[in-house]
Amino acid sequence: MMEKPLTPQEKNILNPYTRNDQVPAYLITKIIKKMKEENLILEPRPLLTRSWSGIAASLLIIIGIFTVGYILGNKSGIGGIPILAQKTIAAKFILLVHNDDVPPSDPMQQVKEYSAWLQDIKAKRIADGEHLHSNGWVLSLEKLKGPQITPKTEFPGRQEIGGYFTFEANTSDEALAIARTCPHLNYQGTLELREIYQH
Amino acid sequence: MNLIDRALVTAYLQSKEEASFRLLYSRHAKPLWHMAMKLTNGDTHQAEEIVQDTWMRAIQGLDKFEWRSSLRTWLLKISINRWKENRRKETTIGLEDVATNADPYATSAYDTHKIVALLPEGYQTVLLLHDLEGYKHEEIAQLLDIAPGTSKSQLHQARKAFRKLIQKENI
Repeated sequence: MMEKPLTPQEKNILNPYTRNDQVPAYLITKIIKKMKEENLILEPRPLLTRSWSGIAASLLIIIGIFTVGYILGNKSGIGGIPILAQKTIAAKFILLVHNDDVPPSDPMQQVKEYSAWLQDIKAKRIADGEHLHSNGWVLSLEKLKGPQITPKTEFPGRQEIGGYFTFEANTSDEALAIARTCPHLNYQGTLELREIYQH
Repeated sequence: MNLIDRALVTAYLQSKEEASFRLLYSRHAKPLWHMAMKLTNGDTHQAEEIVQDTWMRAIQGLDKFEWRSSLRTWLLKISINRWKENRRKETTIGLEDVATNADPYATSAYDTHKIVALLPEGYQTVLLLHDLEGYKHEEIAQLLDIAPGTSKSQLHQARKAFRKLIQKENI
C-alpha cells in the first residue's frame, strides 16, 4: 500500500521555506552581463562598423529594384514613373472604432459621413473599413464551452468595437494625422489606432 | 509545445539580441526562481547561482533543444540538475562542516538541513516535487529522466525513509 502523503507538519520539516519571494530585479542584469562575457548576447552593430561588402550588396539590390521598377513603369505607360518607387508606404494601420459615441438624431447622416471619409482616404491610399454587428461569439479555450452568443453586457469593462478602418501610412505620425480627421471623434466616440504586424 | 516560446527562441537564435533574451527570461523567471528557492530552502545566494547557471547552460544548448518537452520543463530540469551538483558538493564537504558553521541557536534549521541531507538525493527530489510542489508523476518523470512508475515507487520509499528519520532524530 502507498505510504500516506506528508502532513503539513512533516512538509514543514522537509522544507520550511514557504515564502513566495519575488525574483530579484538585479538577477537579469547579472545574467545578461555574464552572457555578454561569453558572447551569448551580441551588441547591436552600428551601421559604420558593418562590412563594406554587405553595404555594397544592399546598395546593389536597392539600385536593381529601382531600375526594374523604372523599366516596368515605362512599359506600363504611366509616363516613366517607376512603379516600385511609388510603393513607399511602409506600414498598415487599423483604426478601431469604439461603440461609445453619441449618435445624432439621424443615424444615416453619421453613416454617410464615415463612408465619405473612407472614400476620401481610398482616393490616396489603400484603405478599407467595415461596420460590425453588436452581437457576436466569444470563444475561449479555457472555458471550453464552445461558441456562444454573448450579449455585450456579459463582458463589463471590455471595450466594444463597433467597426474598423484599415489604411496604409508611411509613419505612425501620418497615421495619427489621418485618424484625427475621422468623423467618429465629432460624435464624442473613441478611436484606437494600432499598427498591424507585417510578415 | 508553446508557440510563443518557439518564436522567442527562434528570434534569439537569429539575432542573439538582449531584447529577445529578456522576453524569454521574463516568461520563465518566476517558476525558475521559485523552484531554486524551494530546492535550496530559501538560500538566496545559492538560488541565484542556480538560476544564473541554468540560463547559461540553457542558452548554450538552445540550438540543440529538440522540443520533446516544453521549454519550461527543460529549464526546470537543468536547474534541478544544477542543484544536485551543489548538493553532492555539500555532501562531500560533510555535514560536520555545516554543523560547525551553523548558528548554534538555530537548531531547528540545522536539524532540518541535516535531516533532508540524510535522505538520498532522489528521494528528496521526488518528495519535494510531488508532496510540496504538487507535480504529477508523469511530470516528475520528465523532469528527472525516470519512468513514471519509478517516481511513484520512489515517492513511497521516500515518505517511509523520511518518517523513519524524523522518528530517529526525535523531531
